Amino acid sequence: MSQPASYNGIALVTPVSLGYSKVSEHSASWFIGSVLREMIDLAGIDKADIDGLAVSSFSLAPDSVSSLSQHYNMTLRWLEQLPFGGASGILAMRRAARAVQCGDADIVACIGGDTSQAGSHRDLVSDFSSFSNSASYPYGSGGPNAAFAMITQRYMDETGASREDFGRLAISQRYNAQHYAPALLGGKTLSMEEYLAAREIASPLHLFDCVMPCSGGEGFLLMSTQRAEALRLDYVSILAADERHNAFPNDPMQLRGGWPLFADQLYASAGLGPDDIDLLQTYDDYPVISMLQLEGLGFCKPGGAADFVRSNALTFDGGGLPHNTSGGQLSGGQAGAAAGYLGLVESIRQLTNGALKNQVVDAQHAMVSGYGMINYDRGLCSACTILKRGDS
Amino acid sequence: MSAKFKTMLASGNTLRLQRCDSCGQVNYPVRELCGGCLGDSLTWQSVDDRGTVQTLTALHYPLEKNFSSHLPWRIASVKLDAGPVAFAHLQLGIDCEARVRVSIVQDEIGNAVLVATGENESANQWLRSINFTEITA
Repeated sequence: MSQPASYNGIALVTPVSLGYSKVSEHSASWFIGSVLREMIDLAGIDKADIDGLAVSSFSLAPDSVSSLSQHYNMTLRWLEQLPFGGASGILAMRRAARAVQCGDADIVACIGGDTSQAGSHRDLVSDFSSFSNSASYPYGSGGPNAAFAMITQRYMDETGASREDFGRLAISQRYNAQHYAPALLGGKTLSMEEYLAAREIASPLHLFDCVMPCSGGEGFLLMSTQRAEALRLDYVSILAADERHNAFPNDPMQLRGGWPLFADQLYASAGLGPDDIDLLQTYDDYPVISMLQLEGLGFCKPGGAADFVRSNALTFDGGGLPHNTSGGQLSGGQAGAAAGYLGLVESIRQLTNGALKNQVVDAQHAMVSGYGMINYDRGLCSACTILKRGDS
Repeated sequence: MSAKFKTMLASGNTLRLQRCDSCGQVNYPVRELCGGCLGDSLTWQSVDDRGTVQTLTALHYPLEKNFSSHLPWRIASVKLDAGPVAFAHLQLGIDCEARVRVSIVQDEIGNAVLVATGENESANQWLRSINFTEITA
């Protein structure tokens, strides 16, 4: 199998997260455009300098990225729409990087943004995919909670992971969120007692295993390192990135994502190993999925994530493996497809010293993982990238 | 307001799923092309209705009202001996790793849906308790 070419010469800059709230009267185009405006300000460029736009949103319809070029009065020569949920950010980054490397665009804005209103979560999950509509939603209409509850139950049965183990992830992320002002649940502490005593949602999932749907936007600009240096912008480089879709389709249950298919090559391309990763952002729609990422990305053996979270500090300042350093979705809220950009944007902040109270000291390398699209019984998209602090 | 589900199952008192006329693969969820060979000739046929409960959940917060009077609502992921994985409403008292039979019944709002019941037990009482009805051929 051929391997992805180098991402040499590509810079990720101007991380922006904004607008997090439980519900909003604004539309998706407000969130996406507001992120765009903030990034233009941070970069010190003109709107006309941006000639590529990649967006992800569950609530943008009937508009598309093409519509947005008129909303924002921009003439673009490259655009992309990535409806891939939790894998959207890394996929946008990979495609935008190739566009810039090949001369199809000079500066690409990569943005995830979604609005949330009463009932919009139900509207989304009750018509999510044809397989889900015919073979999942009619069975108790649990939405993603149902499928992930079943994955979690089987994972616990097979590995011996306990609720406390999932709680360790949720509690460490809450601690991180308490040091990241925009996190929606950052104002509330979470103890193991509270985690365990929470009401049951879909056995074995309880309240703090489930994300809170919300509105919000996340984005970054992607350009050449020369351009970033000319603009005197702190930047982050891509050492490696890859993705797989519908990996291991014959596994009767999803107890691994697509990461084992490319993790070794990812590390080889980066010239690094798991021990060199200074901070890790996993896609945490449910704690069990973060565990599958810890396993699939080589931090521990398959089935070994419970042991890993028992013996490694996961807080941003705990001296172990800083994980989901802004609180992730579990403590920050799941802003639709923006959640697929959250870990990437937070890593760009961290590697440009742009984080505030949750800054990981001396972080050089970050790993960001994405996972998305529960089409029926499993998430189909797996993606991952290794990032490095830029030289400027 | 009740949901308008689109389960698209063939109703009848035996489990019928789409078998590919070219390669023989049994397909589920319902689709237009065979997931194995992409052939477009799929025929609804009776298939082995036995399977194993590989995992289950009890839902406390269904998003549709028609489940909310019978909480928690139990569903299972069943690995069918015929090949596919199917979500099914799960009979009370049936647990993980149990051998089950999967059949098609009518739910409260008239949809043909899959239920997983004990291999050698009558499901009539349970079905009545949740307002599901057997489909008579």
